Amino acid sequence: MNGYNFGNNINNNAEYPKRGLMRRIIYALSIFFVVFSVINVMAYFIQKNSNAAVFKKEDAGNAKKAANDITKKNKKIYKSLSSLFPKGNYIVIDTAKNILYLKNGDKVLYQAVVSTGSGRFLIDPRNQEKKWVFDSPRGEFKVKSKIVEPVWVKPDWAFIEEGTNIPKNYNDRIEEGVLGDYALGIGNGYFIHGTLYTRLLGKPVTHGCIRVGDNDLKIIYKSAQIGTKVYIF
Amino acid sequence: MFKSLWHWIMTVPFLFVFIWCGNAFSDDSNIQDIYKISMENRLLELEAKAAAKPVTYVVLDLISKKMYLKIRGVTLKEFDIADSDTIGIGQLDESYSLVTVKAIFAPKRKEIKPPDQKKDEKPPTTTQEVDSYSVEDMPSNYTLILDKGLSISVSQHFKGNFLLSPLNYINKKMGRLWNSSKLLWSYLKKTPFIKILAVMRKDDARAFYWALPEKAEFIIIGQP
Repeated sequence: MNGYNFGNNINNNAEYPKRGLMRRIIYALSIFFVVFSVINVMAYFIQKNSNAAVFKKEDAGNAKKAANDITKKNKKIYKSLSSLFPKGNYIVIDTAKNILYLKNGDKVLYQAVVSTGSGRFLIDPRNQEKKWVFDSPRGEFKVKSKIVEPVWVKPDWAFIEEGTNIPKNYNDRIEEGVLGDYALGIGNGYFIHGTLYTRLLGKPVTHGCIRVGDNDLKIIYKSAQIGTKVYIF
Repeated sequence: MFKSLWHWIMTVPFLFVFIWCGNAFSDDSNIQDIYKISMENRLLELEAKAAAKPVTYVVLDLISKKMYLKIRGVTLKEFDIADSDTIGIGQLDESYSLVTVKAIFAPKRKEIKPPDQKKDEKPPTTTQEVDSYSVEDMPSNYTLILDKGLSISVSQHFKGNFLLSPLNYINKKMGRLWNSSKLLWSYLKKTPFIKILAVMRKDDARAFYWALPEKAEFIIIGQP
């Protein structure tokens, strides 16, 4: 006997694969945590030193300026910013929620459930390059026209979508009574108008126009003037 | 007598120390005030510039953890940020333009298939119920790539679910590791790098994606 216990070694070897796997996992995790810590610490110091250097430069530069001058400047900018705010009533349309807000300053005067653009697209089967995307426009608009008992002049896409031929006669495009009692034109052929399909209010189903229920539309129509700002997001 | 005199003598240096400390702190606070005012000035200038255009812009306030969608200085929508983290080199004192949005599950618009007139005798009306492209189709995890080396990762906040809530922590830590490595790489390459991680409620993340205009301008309040 040389002092080694061969019998025990044989037993240990049977469990060796399990132990080896555990050890490897522990090693891998340790390496991961060490790398994680080292990278984080290095990143922290790089970030701290770089930003501290910029901070000092800024401080030195700003210290030269008088605080009063900057405050005066700030007041001026505030003034010019507030001059951009809409005066009087304005309309905000949330296309995500399909809600229209009639506002004045920060106050919400009225809100209505509406339908906005469906976001779908249509390709002209006769001319594949012609494509329409039915989104409600986003950004700042103005009420450009106020119409009582509006008629719909059907555009080309309406006929293509229905699978019918585009008429050559203008009068064949006119459809009465589908836009409700009132319409507010916001430019580029987009309107805030009424609808026959009130059950679809609250859903994005239109070709870009904003559909409003009859009672809500009456209130909005009366509150809006030519030039009233409309913000759509 | 001697003891009290010694006491007085010993007090003098302390008094000097106190006065010096007072001056030092007051100077520092002055600098801090000026810095604060000038930062406010910088942000106001940026906002005035963004509000001059008739398009929506974003103000991301990392200090109060809010995100504002604005136009002409008017707040259109306010989003809450559940958690945020910023890593990077440099200052966020410029306005940034959105270059692109990256999402694993980017939404796809649905096409309207016009009916074949020969097959269908009655054409459907244009006001039929449609399978539209709505805010529910928007992703809640995405990355906004902006110019000047800035990017904003928006991720969904896992709330209310006991099993899912550790994901917030894991998500944040893994994001930090990944971005720290990117920061080191950018530092070595000497390229600008600032990454903001914003964790938002699922609905807010989707609504923000929905409302984001192309090339939107971003103003960031807060520093890395």
